[in-house]
Amino acid sequence: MVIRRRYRVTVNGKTYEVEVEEEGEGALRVRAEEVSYGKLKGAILSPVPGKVVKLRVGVGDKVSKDDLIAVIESMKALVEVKSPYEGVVREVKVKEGDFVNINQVIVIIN
Amino acid sequence: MVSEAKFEQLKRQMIVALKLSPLSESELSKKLDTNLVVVKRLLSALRDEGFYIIEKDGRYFFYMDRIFFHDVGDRIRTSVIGRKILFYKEVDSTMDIAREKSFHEGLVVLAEKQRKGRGRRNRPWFSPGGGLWFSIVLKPRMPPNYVPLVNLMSSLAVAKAIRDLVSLRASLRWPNDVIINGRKVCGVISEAEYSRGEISSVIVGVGVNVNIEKESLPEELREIATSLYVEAGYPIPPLPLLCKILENMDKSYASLLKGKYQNIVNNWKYYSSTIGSQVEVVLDSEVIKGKALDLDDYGRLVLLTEGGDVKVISSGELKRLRARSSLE
Repeated sequence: MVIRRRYRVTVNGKTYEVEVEEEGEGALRVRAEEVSYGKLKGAILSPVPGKVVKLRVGVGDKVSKDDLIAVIESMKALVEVKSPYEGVVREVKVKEGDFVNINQVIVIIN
Repeated sequence: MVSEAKFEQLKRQMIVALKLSPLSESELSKKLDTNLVVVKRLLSALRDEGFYIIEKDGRYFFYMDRIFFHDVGDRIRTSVIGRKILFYKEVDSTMDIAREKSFHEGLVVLAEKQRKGRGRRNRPWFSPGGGLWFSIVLKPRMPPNYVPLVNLMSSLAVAKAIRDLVSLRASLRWPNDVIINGRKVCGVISEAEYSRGEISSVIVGVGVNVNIEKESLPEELREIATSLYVEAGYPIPPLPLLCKILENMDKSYASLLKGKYQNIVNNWKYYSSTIGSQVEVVLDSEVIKGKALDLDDYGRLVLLTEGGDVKVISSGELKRLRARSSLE
């Protein structure tokens, strides 16, 4: 039985997805991947792989923190993606019905 | 016309009579010394109050006293799910109530009936008395990309409980339907909120068709839906089933929080009728045919298409399923 856990770790302002795998007593294998929004400020990413079933914003829209941006369906779970930022929508990268991957950019806000 | 007091008295007499033996409407009318119209009114009044009275071959069985879902809390042994339980006789939707109270992890909202039960995409979900309709509030502190596994975990909990308690061969259809003899007996939906890099809450809705007679299913559902009562041929006590489902979910949820995603996925595969079968996945405009090979760690369906490609599916409607053996 391999136990694998994922963490999101922020070091000096950069965020990493870290996957830790136990390889027997005292041995760990660690993989880390920088989360892209650490680089691309204002980007809102899809947390899950799935389909965009609702897109609530367009270019030029003002958004506040916690406004609903999109709803992604993944394994029939609906995930409401809310904005962590306040600002204006600069780019919309997907449309309703599109399939998105994990951490794919949905919209960019500044 | 009978007076209200007389009607109440007849209700009690009817319970006593039905507890002794199954009776037809005309036998009831003789026994209670009243007419058939009143008998019908009495039956429906008792059912509305939550008494389980089941009809079979023209006779009515008194199956059990009202279930007091209030007792659930004392009966279950769980660490998170069901720490608090709210019970309603009738609501619009347990999902809406759970959403309003989404700060309370482990809360279970139960209703005897839902007026506006909903499935995915706001499709109506038929929820009369006799089913288990409930929503659960979860606040999983885990990487958001694994959160859809909550859906798989919930359908798994129901299939396991049915197999253990009812001895019916319940199986799972990707991603979250519980199927008996090719028909759906339980549906699961979940609605998650994602903000500032984390999932703040997941509301899981579960609907199990327990003691619902075939005739009372809407016609358009009879081909695709069933109930435990229809499949088993006898009524199923809902309370032990509910407790078992909540206990199963609680255990799976604990392992999900520990990062044991493969546990959920492997167990799901064990109960699945999808893996190994020929399936059709309906995406918006496209239908992909192929063989369901596996589930990945995120719960996505790995499909070998007829063209020989391997596709990983995270969203889509699974249609027509040819079972892998005649036993299914």
